[in-house]
Amino acid sequence: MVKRRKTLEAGGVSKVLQSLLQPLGAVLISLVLGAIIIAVSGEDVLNAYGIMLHGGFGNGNYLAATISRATPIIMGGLAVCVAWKAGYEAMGGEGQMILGALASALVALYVPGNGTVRIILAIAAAMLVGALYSAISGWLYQRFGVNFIISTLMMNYIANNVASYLTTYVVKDPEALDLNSVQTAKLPESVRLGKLAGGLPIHWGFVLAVLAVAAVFIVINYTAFGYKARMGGINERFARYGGINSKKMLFSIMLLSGALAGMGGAFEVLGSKYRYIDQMIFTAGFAWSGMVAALLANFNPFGTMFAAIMLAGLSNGGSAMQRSTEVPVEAVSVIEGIIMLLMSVKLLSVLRVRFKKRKAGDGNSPQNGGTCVEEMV
Amino acid sequence: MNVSLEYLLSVLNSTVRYMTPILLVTLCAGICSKVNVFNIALEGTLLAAAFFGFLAQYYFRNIFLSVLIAMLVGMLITLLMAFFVVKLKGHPMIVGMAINTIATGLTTLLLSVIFHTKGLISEPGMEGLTKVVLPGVQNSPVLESIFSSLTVVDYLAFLMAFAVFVFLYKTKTGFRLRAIGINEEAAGSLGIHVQKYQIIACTISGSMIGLAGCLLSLGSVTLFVQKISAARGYIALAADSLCMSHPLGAIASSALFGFTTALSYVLQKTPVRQQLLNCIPWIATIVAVAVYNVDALRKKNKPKKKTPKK
Repeated sequence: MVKRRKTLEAGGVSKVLQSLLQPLGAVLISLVLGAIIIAVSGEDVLNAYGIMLHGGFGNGNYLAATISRATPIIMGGLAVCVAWKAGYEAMGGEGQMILGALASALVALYVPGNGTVRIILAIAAAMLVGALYSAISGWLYQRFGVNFIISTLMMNYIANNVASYLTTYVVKDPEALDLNSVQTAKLPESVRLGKLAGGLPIHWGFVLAVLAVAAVFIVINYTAFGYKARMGGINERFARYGGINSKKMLFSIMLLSGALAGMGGAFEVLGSKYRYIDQMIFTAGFAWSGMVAALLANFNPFGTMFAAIMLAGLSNGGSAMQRSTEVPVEAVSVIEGIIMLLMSVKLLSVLRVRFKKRKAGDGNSPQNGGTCVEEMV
Repeated sequence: MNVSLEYLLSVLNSTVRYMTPILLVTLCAGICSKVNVFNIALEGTLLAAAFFGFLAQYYFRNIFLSVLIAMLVGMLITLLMAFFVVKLKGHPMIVGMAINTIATGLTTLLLSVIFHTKGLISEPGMEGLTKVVLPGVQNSPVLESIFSSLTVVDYLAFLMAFAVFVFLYKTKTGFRLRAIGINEEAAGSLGIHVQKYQIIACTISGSMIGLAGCLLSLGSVTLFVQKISAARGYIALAADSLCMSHPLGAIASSALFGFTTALSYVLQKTPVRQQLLNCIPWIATIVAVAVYNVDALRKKNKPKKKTPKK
């Protein structure tokens, strides 16, 4: 009866190993399919993949660039981890990240004070703006029953347009030489997140992101709040029956998730671009990559971090491949999509369930451990 | 700003032209959600259909064949979506987003491999969808400006809405599909092959996305540009939730989005900036869904209050 109660407990070591099998399989299959695309584009597959691998992880410099690119992706992934683990399928990371990035740039530029204080304020502002923007979709859901998917998708576009408006007309860099460059002024040296090692593009934002990963891991797995959130994610009615205030839970989760996404935007501005450039988050697709990373890792924060670094390496490698071969960088997003598609079905567990079903002749097939609470009742 | 009758009529005309692709996609979304498949892959499917319709026209210069190929692409991708969700029990959101990612990547990839561009591609001499002039319309200037430059697929979209309505509500198969949507187990116990019905219904409804794709790339203008679908797939999802998957309601809800889009273009002549105008359809979507939901909730709660306490 209670053999699957494990789902509510924190993951063990063997579970981690098991959960690695599927992502690796998915990555392998998608690389094979990617090879076909490269071959069709008329390039030598091994050569193209070699360039891609080198461009992503080849030497210290490239690796540092990959990690720098991964930083906002990690934060976007964490935002997805928190929300989806609690059962709220929100996809608003992009909008929250855009507004967070813009807010951090503005605070860093225009708030008086010394460097460190301004950096802290800028990150705090990004978290606040992201959290509030995320809470709007929570409110729309709670008050009006607006589907999360619809409200968050729409709000991504609204955020991007509003940020675009502000950078074009209100806070545009007055010293921009090129009239077409829609961006804020460049941050002074004192309010930038420092580089970890001289010359390499990797910055302190990554360290903060790793700390955030650890914090989210602990909160989800080892606190009462995380327990309640996970319980709500598995079975909201049961959680409510158990005395959990679902309204309070919804808003805490949305605020936390939005704050994490907003922070990702701040890291990109303060550590990497040193200004907000119109469409910078939208074009780079940090939030989407973050979502892919979280899905690949099955919403495990540490797994999300590694997946984010892998995805960032793929896309940096893809750009390198585009520079020196005929294969366009979009091949990478096709590979990314195929990975996601293969991950969606949890092929291993489907197979295992079928096997078990045949063995036991049991009609009730558990799907990805989603119904354990019902069994406990 | 000078508001003349002609101007208003042209707004009406653009409303119709913006709404028809959304209407077709909303109808597909409606059928998919009637059989419990939450299809968020509409966006990618629409993009791919628009691209392959354009590509077919580029190579074959035959509008009939192009439409057919676009419909086929729409059906194939929706089949993929339905198969992964229904048969393999994949998470619909993840499957859908995966398909959207692949579609965006693949169309841009093919665009740069075939046409060596990543921006806009338009080839002279390509034939768009046949424009239809209704009999009698030419005699009246008012009607003429409302119905100007509408293609055969624009009219077909409205016909499809009625056809889907008749199919869902007046035929045995349609009744079974709706039964699946209400309760899969109960429908299965009546001997309905639930999964088969779900997959086939979704696949066939995918052909309507193909038609919508043709409207985008081969409609009033014959061109393809990266991300030409411009989130219409997501808007259609919202439109579907607004009309509760009712095909005739889909006409009204897609008209709302057609109108707000037209409005955002009309208001460009005012001092309000473009970027803010772009937000109008998105905000309207959220507000419409919220208002509608509140209304629906109120109606749902009313009879409860009237029932006397025992």
